[in-house]
Amino acid sequence: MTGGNDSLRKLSRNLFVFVIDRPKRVLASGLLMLAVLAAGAGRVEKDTSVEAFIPSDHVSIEVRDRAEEIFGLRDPIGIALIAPAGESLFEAERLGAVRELHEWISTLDNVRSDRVTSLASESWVSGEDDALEIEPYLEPFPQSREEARRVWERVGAMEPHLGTLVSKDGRGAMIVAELRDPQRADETYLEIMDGVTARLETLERLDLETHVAGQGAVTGFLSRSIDSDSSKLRPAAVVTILLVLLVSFRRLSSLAGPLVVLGASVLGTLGCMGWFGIPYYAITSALPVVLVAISVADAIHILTRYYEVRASHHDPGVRAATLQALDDMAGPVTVTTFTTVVGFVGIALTSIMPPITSFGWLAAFGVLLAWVYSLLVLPTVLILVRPAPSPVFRKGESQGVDRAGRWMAAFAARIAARPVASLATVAALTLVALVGASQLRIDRSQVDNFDRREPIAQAHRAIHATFAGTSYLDVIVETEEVEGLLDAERMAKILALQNFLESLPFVEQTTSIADYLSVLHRAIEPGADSALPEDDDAIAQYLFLQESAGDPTELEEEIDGEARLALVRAHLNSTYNSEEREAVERTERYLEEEFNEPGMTAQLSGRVNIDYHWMQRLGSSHFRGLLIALLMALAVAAALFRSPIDGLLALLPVLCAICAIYGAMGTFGVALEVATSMFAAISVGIGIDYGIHLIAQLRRGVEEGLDLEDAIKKHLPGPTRACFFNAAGIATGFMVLLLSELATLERFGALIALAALSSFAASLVLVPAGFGLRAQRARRRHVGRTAQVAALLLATLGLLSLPADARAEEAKTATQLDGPTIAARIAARDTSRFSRRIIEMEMTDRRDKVRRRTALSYRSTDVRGNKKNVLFFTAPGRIEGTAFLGHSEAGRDDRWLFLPATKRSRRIPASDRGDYFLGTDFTFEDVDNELTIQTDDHDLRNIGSRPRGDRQVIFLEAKPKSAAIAKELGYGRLVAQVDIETWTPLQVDFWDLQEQPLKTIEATELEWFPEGDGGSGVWAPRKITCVQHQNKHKTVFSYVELTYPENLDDDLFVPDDLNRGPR
Amino acid sequence: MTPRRVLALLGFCLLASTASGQSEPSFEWGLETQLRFGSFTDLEEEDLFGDLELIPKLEWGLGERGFARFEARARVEGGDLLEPGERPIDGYSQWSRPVTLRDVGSVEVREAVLGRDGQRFGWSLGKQQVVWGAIDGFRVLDVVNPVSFREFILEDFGSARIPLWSLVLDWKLGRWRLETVWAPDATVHEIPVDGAPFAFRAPRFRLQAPEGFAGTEVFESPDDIDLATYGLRFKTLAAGWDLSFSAVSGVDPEPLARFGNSGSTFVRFHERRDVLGVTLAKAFGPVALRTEIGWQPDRWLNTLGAAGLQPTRFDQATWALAADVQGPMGWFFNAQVVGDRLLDAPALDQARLARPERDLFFSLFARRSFRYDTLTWELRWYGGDSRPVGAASEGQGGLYRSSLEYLIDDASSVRLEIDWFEGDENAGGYGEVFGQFDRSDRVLLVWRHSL
Repeated sequence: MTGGNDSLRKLSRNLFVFVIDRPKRVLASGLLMLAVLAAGAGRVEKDTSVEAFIPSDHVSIEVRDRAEEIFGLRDPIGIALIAPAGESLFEAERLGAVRELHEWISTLDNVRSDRVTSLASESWVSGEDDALEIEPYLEPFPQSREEARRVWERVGAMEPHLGTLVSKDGRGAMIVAELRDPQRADETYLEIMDGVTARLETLERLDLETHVAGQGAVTGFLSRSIDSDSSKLRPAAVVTILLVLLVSFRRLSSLAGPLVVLGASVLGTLGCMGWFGIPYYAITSALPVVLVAISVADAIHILTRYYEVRASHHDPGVRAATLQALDDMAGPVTVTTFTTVVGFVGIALTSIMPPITSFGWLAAFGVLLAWVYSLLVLPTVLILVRPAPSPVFRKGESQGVDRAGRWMAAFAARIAARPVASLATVAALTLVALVGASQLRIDRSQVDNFDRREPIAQAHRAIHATFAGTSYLDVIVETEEVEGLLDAERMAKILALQNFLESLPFVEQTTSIADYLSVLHRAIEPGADSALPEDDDAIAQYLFLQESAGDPTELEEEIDGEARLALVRAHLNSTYNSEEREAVERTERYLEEEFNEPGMTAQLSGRVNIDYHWMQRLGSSHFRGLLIALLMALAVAAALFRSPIDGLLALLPVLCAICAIYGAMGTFGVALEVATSMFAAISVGIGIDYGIHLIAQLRRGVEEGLDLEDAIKKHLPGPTRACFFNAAGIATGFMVLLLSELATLERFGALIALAALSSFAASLVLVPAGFGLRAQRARRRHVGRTAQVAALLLATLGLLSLPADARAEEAKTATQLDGPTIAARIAARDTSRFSRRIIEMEMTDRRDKVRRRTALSYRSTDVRGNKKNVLFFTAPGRIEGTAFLGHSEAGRDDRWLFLPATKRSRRIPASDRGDYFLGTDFTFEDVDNELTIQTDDHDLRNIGSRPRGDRQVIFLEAKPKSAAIAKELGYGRLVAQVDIETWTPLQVDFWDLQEQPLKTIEATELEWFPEGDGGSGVWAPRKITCVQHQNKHKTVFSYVELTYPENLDDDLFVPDDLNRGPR
Repeated sequence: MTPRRVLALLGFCLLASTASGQSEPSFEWGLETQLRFGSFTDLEEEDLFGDLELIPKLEWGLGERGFARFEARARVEGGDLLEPGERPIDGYSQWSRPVTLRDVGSVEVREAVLGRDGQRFGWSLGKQQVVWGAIDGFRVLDVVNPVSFREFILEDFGSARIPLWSLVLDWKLGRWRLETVWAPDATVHEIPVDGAPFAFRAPRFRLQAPEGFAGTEVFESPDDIDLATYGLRFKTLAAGWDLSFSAVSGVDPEPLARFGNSGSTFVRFHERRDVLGVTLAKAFGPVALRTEIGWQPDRWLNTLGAAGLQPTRFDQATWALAADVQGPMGWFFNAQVVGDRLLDAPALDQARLARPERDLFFSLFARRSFRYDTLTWELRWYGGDSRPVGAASEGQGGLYRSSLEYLIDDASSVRLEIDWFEGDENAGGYGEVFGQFDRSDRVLLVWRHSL
């Protein structure tokens, strides 16, 4: 941890104390702020249209809008009346029902009465006796079966109406109504459904099936579903989460705080939507559920810690336990909150679809809001409600954690003991998942949005089976000059385009002005060879005749008034977007290569074209969003642990979980579409939390010096339990989406639930396995290094030639030496008179605040043993230039300090040998004598020997000879573990005058320096660590450069030269 | 010092570094930033101020023992309170003069040195500080460089000291060392202008024309008298004793005043002075003792007697004793006493502007670090006593200074400081050294960052 972290922790603690001491005021402020935020919720407006998924400036929307403007086309609601198989709709009574419905629909408020199309409004064309007749189908209204059959014959002659207004087999008729305001599609849809229901008796008597479908209906149904979902999903999610909390803590009083947090998150986010004018899209239905599920995660961790503290042997009470819980958990929940936010931000940054972008930002905001309320308001609720200790957390049992936590920790310990096998198993499972994932497809179906039993889904299927389809691919043909389309060749080209379109898969029918001209041509010139007139003037005259004899507005959907623009519409009965892809791509090519010519061009439009374009983007934005979320989460985790490896380890479980889910989707045919495409990035944010919590705990254990098994047993039970309930909470919360009326949300919920649980499971396996693997490698390295060192040592000492029993004999002899002899051997070990070192000092306090310094040190010892040492600090900049000089001579110590601020070397008092050396945890005695134990000052005793790693060490006990010496040295006893081969104390444990453990100094990374001691070589540690047991401080001296020159200039050790710095 | 000269100097340093043939030149740099906000609690009007200091430092290692160092300081003040108007730089020599940024701040070269540390002989040439003496805060023998009194004695010593262009030679003569200084840079003390919070108010320091004076005030730059500073110091370490002898002769940075041109002008000017001194220091277990003795024969000081404002020569003796004590539980204490005496000083009723015959100053300092040396609390007290000829003993007022510094991380710290003066600016006719700033109590918040 850095100093910055420490100051942050201090700040946060002060904040927590502030909050806890003023619970009522803070709670009231929190609720007041929430009320202000939530007030915006009333301003939220729904936008359930499918266009909402495309940016309004996207080219496909622009073309669609242009078509709408020119040809007056809007997504309609279609009402289909279908007679039973083998029967015909063309019965007088059934046609009467069509007319009655048509007339009623035309009266609806939100329906454009001039744009309601059906048999009741359209006309047929005939030419008799050289006269062109255009007559409405149902005028006069057929009174008999024969007259009705005649109507069917007329329809059969009108190609543009076959398959669109009337099914080709004559069983069904369609009433198509355009809406004035698509935003009110839901109420119109309901109105029509009500109208149909009111006529149900009549329709059933006539044996007519009635279906309401079309884009307008879809929009309306979505809107109705949103309302319905909102009314049941939110409470269901809340109840579910509260149940999870209840099971987790078995205290009703534990519910109040999380309830406030999730309320704040959901209401605050919805209010934010209102204040910022963000519409409530179909996908937004999932947002409250998402927030409910995720927002309590922080609360679960804080409450877990609260109950753990309360379950300790000395229950400190509500206030202290709350403060302790906040102190311990503020850091982890902050990090996991930010990783969750990262997931949502990844979605927001990469999606081009406004609903998804909004979803990402809003969810990120909601999670942040939950974090703020978890840290600041939840504590106030705890203080006011005063939850009693939970029966789940029992005193004295492995940190007070119940069996579930202990069981999971035991499982983790088993995994850690077999890391390779565990990792191999996970890798194999991931490979299997990847095979399934290869089948994953990116696709979407309008009908798949809904449950198959829903009326809208049934209508879709029925209309697709009976009519030409309700998916439109439009081509807008445009000429440069006015009346440019009154050209026989161009009209023939349009007809050729229609023929091409009808050759495409899923295209059932096409309509255009050419169809009408063809009908007119056949009526006027029944014997003509060609389908269209070959004379330009004839085309103009036919259109004039049509306008004069029939409804002048009848062709306005096919051609504009200037005869410059025309619409060719292809009806597709496709179900999936993938089925439409070929039609769009081939048509684009056809227009480019075959159709466009100087003076006439064509552009694609229509629903199918729009869907094609945004689905194209969906795939790339999904994987880009996932990648960004992964990278950001990795960055956060790596920064938290200051280790890219641990960051990767935290991410690995999520990656495995996502692979598993891709595999499941591929295997079970679940396509990646709008809602499901969000699962991966969200899963990254949620799933990485478990890895982070577990890694943080294991690192804590390792830093405490525990071996991995002990670290797992000590630190994992509580956090694994909390993570499990966190995952369970999220999973059950998201599973509430299974109650949605929208199938796409059901799939979304199921995927996230699966991701949360599988991420937790993968974390529980991969994190201990990763640590286990690391421990195994460290052991191997240690053994390898030790073996090298031992070999070098033996070679250097020329002992290789000695028989093994001789070496053993020498070792045996060494272990039997008495204390003073051992101390003498330590003092006499090969050392160098001159040294130059670059020391990196790292001082860590009890709060893990780390200070670092770098110094260049010179040390000189003369033949009489008088020592001089000088330290020039080179970093950090704050103390750069500061220099310390010490002369030790014949029992006298002289010291000087040069401070750059004063630019003067000044004499400083000679401290006691037991005083701390320049703010470190080493004393002047430690530094001056470099682990040599002064025989004059101590009573020394050999108290045994034992192997230490692959070395044999003697335990040398030293007690100061007098109380005065003990006081001066600052300790009452020490025990040094002395390596009998190098006579280097590898570890020295100190006890204070009251026999309490004081500190431990450990010398590690022992290295042979052949140039030392005038070429004789010396052993020296690269790192010396001093751990203070009483105040939990730690100092590490790392010698990053260590050289032993043959001589050093005396002027390095002159007080007045300290200002000149290192040389 | 014009920017052009600074650039030329930098170029010189760079050239020197590239010209070094023996080994690859090394280069290091640093940047110190200090941001302060403060409030004078006792001023009548505007009392908030803030300033920002940027101190870039460059250092080249030239060959095995050569070096070049450069340090500049840019200082910007918000509120224009500490230095009202443009910075008073009249006392700087042409070569040392800072570049003023109108009333906003200034930029100056703090160090620009080229040198070599030889085994027997070393030299350094350029703008630099030469710090002799052994006492903190009182300048008995630390007299080579003048100082800025912008914040009286509250500014760090190194920061307040004004570097001079000089040549320093250093001979190692067995156990002895001889240092000589030649500084042809007649810069004198920087004294705050009237109206500044730390402008001298005590009569003993104020060199103004008497009330009703109708003539003009003139400042004679020391450049005009073309005087250089010469100094030498012998030093040794014998039997644990730090012993030094020093002699400095140069421009007295404290100004004098006289009437000129038959009384129509009031002239402020500088004379030479000579300072001879001895220092001794030794540690006795947890106590380190330091002492200084200084002697200034025939020093010019102002008197205002029957003949009007008149510089007069006096002999001046100064002594100082300091003790550092490493106390229990990490406490550090420092106590200092400084005595100063003018020989043959005129009586109070004979010379109004002369300082008292005897000054005695005390200082006590305590420091304790907490939380693993990340939090440091310091408390200082300065006080004193003066004894004019023929008059009763008078106090000097007091300065209390307490600060709490927190080490945010290895590079940054934040300090809260309270400086509290007490006393009377006019007491006893001379005014009190510390009491003259009775209205300049202040609270400071300082953030420092070092790169």
